[in-house]
Amino acid sequence: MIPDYFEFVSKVAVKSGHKVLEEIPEVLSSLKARKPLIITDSGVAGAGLLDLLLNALGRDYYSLPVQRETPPDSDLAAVSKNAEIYNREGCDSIIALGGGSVMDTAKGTNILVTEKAEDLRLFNGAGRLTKKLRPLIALPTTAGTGSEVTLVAVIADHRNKRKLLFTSPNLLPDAAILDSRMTLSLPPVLTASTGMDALTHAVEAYLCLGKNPLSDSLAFSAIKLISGNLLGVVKNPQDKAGRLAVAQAANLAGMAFSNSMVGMVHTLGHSVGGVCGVPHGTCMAILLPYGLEYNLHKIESPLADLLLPLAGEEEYLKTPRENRARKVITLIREMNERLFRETGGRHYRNLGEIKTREGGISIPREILPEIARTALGDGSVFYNPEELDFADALRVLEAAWEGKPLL
Amino acid sequence: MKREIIYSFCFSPKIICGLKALAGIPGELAGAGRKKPLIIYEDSPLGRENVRILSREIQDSESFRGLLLPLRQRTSGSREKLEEAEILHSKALESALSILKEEKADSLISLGSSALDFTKDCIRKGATPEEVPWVLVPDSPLRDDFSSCFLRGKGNLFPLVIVIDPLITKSIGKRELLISSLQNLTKGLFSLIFYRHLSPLLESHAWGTVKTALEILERYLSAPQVSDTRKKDKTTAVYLSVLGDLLEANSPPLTSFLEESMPSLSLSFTPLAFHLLPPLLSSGEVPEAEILLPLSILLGRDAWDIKRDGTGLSEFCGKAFNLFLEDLVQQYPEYTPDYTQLYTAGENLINYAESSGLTALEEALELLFQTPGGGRKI
Repeated sequence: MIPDYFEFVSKVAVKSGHKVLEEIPEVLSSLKARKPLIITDSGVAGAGLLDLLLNALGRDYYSLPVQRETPPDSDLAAVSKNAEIYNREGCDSIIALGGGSVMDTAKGTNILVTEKAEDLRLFNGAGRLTKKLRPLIALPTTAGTGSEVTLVAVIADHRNKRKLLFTSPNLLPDAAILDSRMTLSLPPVLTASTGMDALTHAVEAYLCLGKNPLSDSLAFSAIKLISGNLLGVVKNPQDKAGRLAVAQAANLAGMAFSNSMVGMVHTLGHSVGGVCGVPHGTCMAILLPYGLEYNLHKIESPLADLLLPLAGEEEYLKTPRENRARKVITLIREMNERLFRETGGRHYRNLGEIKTREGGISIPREILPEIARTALGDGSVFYNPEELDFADALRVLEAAWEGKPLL
Repeated sequence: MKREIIYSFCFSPKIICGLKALAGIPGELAGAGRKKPLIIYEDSPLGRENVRILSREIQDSESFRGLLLPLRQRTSGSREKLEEAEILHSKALESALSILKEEKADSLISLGSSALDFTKDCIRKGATPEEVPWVLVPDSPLRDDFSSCFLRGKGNLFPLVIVIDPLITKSIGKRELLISSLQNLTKGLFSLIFYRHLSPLLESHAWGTVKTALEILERYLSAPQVSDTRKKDKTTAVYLSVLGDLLEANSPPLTSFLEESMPSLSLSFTPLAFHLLPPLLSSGEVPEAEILLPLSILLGRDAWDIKRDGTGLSEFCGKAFNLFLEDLVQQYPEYTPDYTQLYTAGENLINYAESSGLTALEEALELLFQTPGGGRKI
């Protein structure tokens, strides 16, 4: 049955297809937007995706201002600089072309230009935005974060060494354009980790305490699409249909978790990322099976449901009911193992094997207690089905570091 | 250049569902920079009770300043009465538009499902939802047999928020709950069978609709002794009708066609379309893995057991829906299928499928209504 109380919002109009980018002039026109500021980063521009967008915009949107210098970790300085360009150029809307950082930077910029403010920190927190923001169109170039349909933005405040969270339905973009060409150039290792990020969003959305019937439906569909397509696009990055399916999955998972919250996989993953600088998708891929094992006694029934979208009807039918939940965990580990092989060992399976660019260990074992302590301050821990204290968090992290299952 | 869109999907209202949902209205309006709504409700005992409940629930909100517009109860029956209702409607509309302008009401609250059409007219004639955002507070499932489906027509009529609170939905009766659930179950299954390939969003919401509808129906059809409905089920039925509208708004007009073609028949859409489901599910034309297997799980039978029993999934699902029908007819004999009408509906559908190029639908329906010897069967 439906929960006693829930809220759901997803105001983003989603357009998805192999050549849907060409719809952008129509979308801008429907939003009465004449001069958008394009926010992207050098990697996306270098991959030729900006040119694709500019071509799609055509003559009616000739000579638009473009900001290519979004940092990998979106920050206050980038947002302020964008706002300055927006105002100087007389823009009336924003197109965000990129991954999570670009999306967050665009959302932050939108706050400043709408509120005619200079200090983004004034709007930090939940529900501080009461005005409808300027039109924002999101064009994701990765398939994982789901930022194009989430109502949050995370912006780094480097001076004070913290990350600022902004939450409001007003942060939702007006439209999200999922075009298969946008993710074709994503390298296999990034495809794998961002795809596992999307899978984690969907699985945790389905199992966490904030779940609701709408997020359940979206999560179920997202898992089915990821399971059916992720490995295929890692093997064959030019598989357009597979690319679009994974992008749609990330989009569905984004809508799901944006309305349900997530659980301890994110709790621990945020902390590993924050303390050691490990990419978010990598943390999610490694920690997901451990989080499920830790919660298993509380989530056995809903977890068993997920065998159907994850493995398909044959596997579901031949697995006795009492084994289905554990089978889900096994399959997720197998998926990581296969992604490890397909990426030549660059998709990591445990925390201990993650390497720095120089080849050193990214997460020294002795730093795990600090990660566990930091994790407990993360808001997502409240939505985890089982309580999590320092000793529990450390136990899970140690198991994930060694690559030894908890059960 | 030929445009190629795989799918486009939109559902902009926020949904707040559950106890104390009403208390969230001032906050939602404040989030849109509004604090002076015009509250439209039916001037009936139920409508006035709804106003009392709303007042109580939002009393702690200090900045909230609502204005009330009671609508005289709309009458139906004789032609004279209908004309009278029209006059009342247009006078009330003038009042509403005047209040919006002169009293500077900045938003609308449609309190109770009977105020919905009027609110939509206000928005059509007065201002766009962007200028005057509106909140929908349904007290019964959104109905399709007249124009209260809030999404029908233009997407620009989307409310800002849909608030479903058990305090407001408590007057729903068992019959209304059952029929609206059947209707939305049918919408969900038709969307799945014919349109699931259009978008994963449509498919996921269609499954959500079917799952929720089955939960309600299984309780109330298989247990006639349940004489009264639980508060939560009433809220769920209203939520379900919102899901049904969501499907309507994002799919081609198959279900709309069904409804539009039904006025020529004496039986309304719901039972008619629902009666088409058992033969459709057992026809062998509905994909087993994508629809019948998950459906059998939702029907409470483990597909593993069904396979072990040697029963086909299509046979199982067809039988399960037949049982639903038997239960329905037993409790509400007026829903006994009229086979002549079913046949007519089937023929209408075949013609529609043919003219729309829906070959799979056409083939499935031909199979349903045609015996190998060329004769028709129901």
